[in-house]
Amino acid sequence: MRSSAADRTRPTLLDGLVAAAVLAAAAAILFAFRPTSGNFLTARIVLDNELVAEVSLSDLTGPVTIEVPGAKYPITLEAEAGRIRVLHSDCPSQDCVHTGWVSRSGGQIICLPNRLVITVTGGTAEADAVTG
Amino acid sequence: MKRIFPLLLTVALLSGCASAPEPVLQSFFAMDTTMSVTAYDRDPTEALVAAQQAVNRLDALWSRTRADSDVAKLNAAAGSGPVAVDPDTAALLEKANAAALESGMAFDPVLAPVMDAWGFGATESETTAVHRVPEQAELDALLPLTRDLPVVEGDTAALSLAGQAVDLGAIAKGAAADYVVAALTEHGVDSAIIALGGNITALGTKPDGSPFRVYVRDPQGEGEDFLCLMSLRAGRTCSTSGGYERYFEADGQIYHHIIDPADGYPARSGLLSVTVVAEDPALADAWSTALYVLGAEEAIARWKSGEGTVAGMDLILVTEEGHVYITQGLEKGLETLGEGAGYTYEILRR
Repeated sequence: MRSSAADRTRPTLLDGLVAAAVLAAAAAILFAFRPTSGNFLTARIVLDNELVAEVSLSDLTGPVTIEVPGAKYPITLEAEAGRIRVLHSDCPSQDCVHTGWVSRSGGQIICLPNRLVITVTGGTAEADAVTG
Repeated sequence: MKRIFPLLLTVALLSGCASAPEPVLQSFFAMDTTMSVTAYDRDPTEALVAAQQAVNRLDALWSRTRADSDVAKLNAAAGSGPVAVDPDTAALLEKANAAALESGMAFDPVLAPVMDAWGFGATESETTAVHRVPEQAELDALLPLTRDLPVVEGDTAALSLAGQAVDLGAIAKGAAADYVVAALTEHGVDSAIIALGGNITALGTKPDGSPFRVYVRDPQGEGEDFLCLMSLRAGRTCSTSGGYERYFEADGQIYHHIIDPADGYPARSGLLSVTVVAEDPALADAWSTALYVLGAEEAIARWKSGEGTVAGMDLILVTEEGHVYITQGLEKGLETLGEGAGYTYEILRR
């Protein structure tokens, strides 16, 4: 079977349009799936293995406080542009409060008595983990 | 050819998208700590479930506080003969015994009665633990129960004296990393970073082929104060021990949780923290504790000797004077960060 396009030796305007359409579609896909880790810092708050909130730290313009619903020991978080901390916790160990502000991607605040993990992701990660 | 050019272009662009997926992080609680796995190369959901199941199985075998665990059964039968244990438990006990003997008992898996006296014992109770300074007479009575290592024969284990107790807390989390790696690789994940209560294991490299990067915490600092940033090569685990991790204050004095088996008191070796990088995650875990007890001089001597387990590891030793010894294997990709906090750095060579 022969198609008319196979007989031509030079690309037509239609070929150009098809190529442009494909390029535009590819660019749209690239944009849609662009890595979110470029600029946006996000704090994921996980209580007892369940995600209870996601806070976009980059979008904050002023400090906000967050009560974590369902925590065994009442716990209050404070978030502001680019960082988050545990402001107050009724837990016995207070390790989560002592951790202080976390602002780097990969940083974590852990409240073991509450089984609460706050993980900061996104941004330009300098490290993949912390030991110690 | 011209007609398939757009098609090739599309495929190239799409594969460009697919080759850099967002890393997926999942955390869960086990062994009374948080464990997190970040997979970089594919949707790791199934693999992470398998990894979590593997850790839960080990926790059920090695927990001191679960009455039906191998360790609880072994402790309950102390002084009255052997009990049957899982082959994985037998293997870990043998590994712990070997580390204990090679370290001259600086790492002691049967230190539990003394740890309990300080309130640093059974990990499950840590959040509600009552810390106290035991009387010397109490320690004197407990120390004879330590040092006699469990006898492992086939798939049985025995403690020779009544009142003895095994606690694998200083080696179990490290050991679990091997099982997590196996579960992940079985499910096709070959680029991941695994954090099991401060023990970090690099499964492969980052998708671009570069090594994973790990911060080492400043033992005197807060949340985001770091001593250095280092590369963790594929297949390596780093483990850190420091008195700053768990401690309590009594009568104006600080008592930390790394007990020297020699006298039953918190180790005073002149070190603030020890980071060990090794291929065997269980050994990284156990030896970070052992070297913290032994001190910088002994740790460096063992590393420089070129013989024994420590010689095959890389070390970061932080002294109370703020001097940081780093072995040469970690030099590539090392970024020191603590100069502003007064730390001085020295690369150890042999």
